[in-house]
Amino acid sequence: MDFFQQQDNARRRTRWLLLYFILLVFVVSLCYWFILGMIPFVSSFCHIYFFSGDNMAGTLSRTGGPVLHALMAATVISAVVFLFSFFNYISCRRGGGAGIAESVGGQLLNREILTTLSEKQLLNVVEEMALAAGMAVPPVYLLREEQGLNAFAAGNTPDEAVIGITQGALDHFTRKELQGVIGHEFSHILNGDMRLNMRLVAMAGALSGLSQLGTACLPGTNSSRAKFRTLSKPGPTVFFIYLLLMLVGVGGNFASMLLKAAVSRQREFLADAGAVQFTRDSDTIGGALKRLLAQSSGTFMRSEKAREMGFMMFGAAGREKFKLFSAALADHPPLEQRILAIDPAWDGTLDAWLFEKRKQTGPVSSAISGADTSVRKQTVLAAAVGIATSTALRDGADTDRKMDPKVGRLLKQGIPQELLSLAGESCTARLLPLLLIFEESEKSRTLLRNYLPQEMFRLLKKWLEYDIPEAQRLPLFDLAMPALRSMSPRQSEEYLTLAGRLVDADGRIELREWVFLSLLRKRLAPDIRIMKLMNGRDAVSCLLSTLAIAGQVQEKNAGGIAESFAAGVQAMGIQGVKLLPRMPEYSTLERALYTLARLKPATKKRLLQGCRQVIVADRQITVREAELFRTFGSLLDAPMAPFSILPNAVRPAP
Amino acid sequence: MFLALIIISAILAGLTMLLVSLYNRLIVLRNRSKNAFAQIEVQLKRRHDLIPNLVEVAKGYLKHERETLTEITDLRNTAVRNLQQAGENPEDAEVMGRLNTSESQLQGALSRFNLVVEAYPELKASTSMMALSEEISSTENKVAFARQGYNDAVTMYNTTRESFPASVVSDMFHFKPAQLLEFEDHEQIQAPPKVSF
Repeated sequence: MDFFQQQDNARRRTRWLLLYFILLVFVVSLCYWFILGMIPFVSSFCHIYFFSGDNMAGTLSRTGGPVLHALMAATVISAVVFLFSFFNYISCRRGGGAGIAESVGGQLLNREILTTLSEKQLLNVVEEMALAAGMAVPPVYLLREEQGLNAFAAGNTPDEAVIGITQGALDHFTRKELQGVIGHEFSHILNGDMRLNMRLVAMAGALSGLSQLGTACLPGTNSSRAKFRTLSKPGPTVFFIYLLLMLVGVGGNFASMLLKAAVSRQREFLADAGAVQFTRDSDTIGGALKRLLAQSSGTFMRSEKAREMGFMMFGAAGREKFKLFSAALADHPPLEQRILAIDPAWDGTLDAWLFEKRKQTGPVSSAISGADTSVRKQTVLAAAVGIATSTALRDGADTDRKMDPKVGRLLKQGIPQELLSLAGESCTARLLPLLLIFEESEKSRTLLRNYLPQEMFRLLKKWLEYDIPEAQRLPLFDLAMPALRSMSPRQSEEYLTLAGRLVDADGRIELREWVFLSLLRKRLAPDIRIMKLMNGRDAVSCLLSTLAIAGQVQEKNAGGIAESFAAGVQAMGIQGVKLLPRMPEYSTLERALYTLARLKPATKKRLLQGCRQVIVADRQITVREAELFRTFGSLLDAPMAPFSILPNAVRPAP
Repeated sequence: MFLALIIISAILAGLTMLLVSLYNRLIVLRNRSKNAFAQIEVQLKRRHDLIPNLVEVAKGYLKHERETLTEITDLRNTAVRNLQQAGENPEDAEVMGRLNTSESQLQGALSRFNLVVEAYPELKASTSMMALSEEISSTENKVAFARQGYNDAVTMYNTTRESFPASVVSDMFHFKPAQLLEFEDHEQIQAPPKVSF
């Protein structure tokens, strides 16, 4: 099978279908124009506003006859529909895939706390397919309650995409078949199918909006069908027009549903061919599809919400509502057809082993999970904050994410078990950042009590008096991050407001509060325009000055400050930055970091090397400096590894 | 007159938008292929890092298969050296060739190791061995997929670069074609299989 050819075919058919869709909108607009033209009220309305006082016949004869006129009107109406659907699309496209995955009961899989071998295998397979597809590894959600064999990809862009899979799929598919299924989902993400579907939904919505508008124009109906029946007594003409409008409306909606389903089916073929491209093996996806045929549990989902988003599933999530048109309205082609598309030689038989459940596998051996040194793990471990030794800093060029994995584990072990388990659960993880910025006062307590559900507050209350050691704060915060990202935009907005109020509760901002508040803001509401370093000189001055001033062990050591600052400027090779006379305000610093976060990655590296030089210049590294440095790195989207630990180099913060 | 002006500026704006989007598309594709190449190196490194741990775990189970394990360790060390050298001078064809040879030898040794495991059914069924072979196959897959992903990305980039509207842009801004990876056992594949009765 030529999978590239198949993908091209599916894309071409999608394009045709989209063209039909546009045509449909046009035809429906045309119908409305003619029907509404029959109503005396509307035609006189049009007469006054569109033909500026001329009589209808005169206007028509001058502007090219009724046909051209109707076509022009239909074009205008269609344009309005598309504009409307565009806004519709913009308004509903917010929210990444994580929120969707959680709403159907998905649980984020984390490499650190995997329980079974099959989960580990799943993550491995996802990483493999990400490599084959040339994409970043997306978060993986497991739907533990669902026994049907299904999977989905959610998210508008590859960056915010997630992959979800049901427990049933994990239990039944072999490793090879999993590759096919995950490859299929990656293909959906890469082809932007979620986005395409959202656009179609938006367009269908605009089309049905048009039919409502049509009925609203009818005299005596007042746009409500109930009133139309009871209150007024319309004449036979109005009733006839009403009937026609309903007919066109229903017909248009039905046709748009048909087209949408047809597009969805083409995208399934495309994704199947994509899975073959990624795995270079038609048995992967072919085997998975055959297994779906063989398994009685099928692909149906229990959760109502999951059935609603059936179009993004690997297999059909539920039965079609209209039995009569089920084939035409199905968003997935029949399994047999999909199998034949990738394996034309298939004779319709199913091997016996497809009917068996795959052998269950035991828990992950600790030896192996300990041996895993994958890149992902390193980034998780890089979450830990450490304290620098001058030796680690002296080779300043090495700003990369290299670190001793032991540091991370060491730090992690110091954190109370209960706090770690809070960070692991998605709903309780939200408490941790609050805990980190919390400062004892009656006002803060009231704020928390009002915002949090009672049980949550009780959970948190125990820890409010516990003083988390400095070195454990950032690691805890980072552990809680995946769960925080799963909040919906509205939730994160509320959450950020609460955090801001907590910080403001006592009327002043401390370093610790600022660090976590700005990290929260950065991670929950990112900004994406790119800027040049030269435009950010003031911001650079601000950063380097902060580090130079904060790094002095003795107070008021002006010479040392200037020296450290100069070292940083020299390392960056930038001109026009100057040392600020005193420690900048936190709000200034925050603004500076926001500006600099839009630098290109390579420039950021240069900037951080400059920062590092400022720290190293005096050959002494304080906890404060290290924490600031790590925060800078994190806020600039260039996470820094903690420096490796050397106990005698530890110096308490001033 | 006014209408003509509007139409002309609309056409110009459309053309500019097309140009920009084509340029951006080429950039995206080129960066994707570059990233895919970097991924290969990352995955090779990952394999090298993993092997000592694998050998450590396997040692306890495979007392009679010492030489297989020693062979893997030796080959791994050679491959690490070669990868380092290749990273230092990526243009040197000879170094690249050495890296390719040592990587394919290492791959061979790993698949022999999997065969050895097949010969011990009770060992194969043990959970830690299962986890171990899962890691090995995933590692091998990742290396293969990274290479394949690179080739796909390059093909995509080259096709877009040469096909019509984009080809104008690629000529204008000097987008050079990217190179496909070749199989390290290119010659072996080309040679006809030997059959002896």
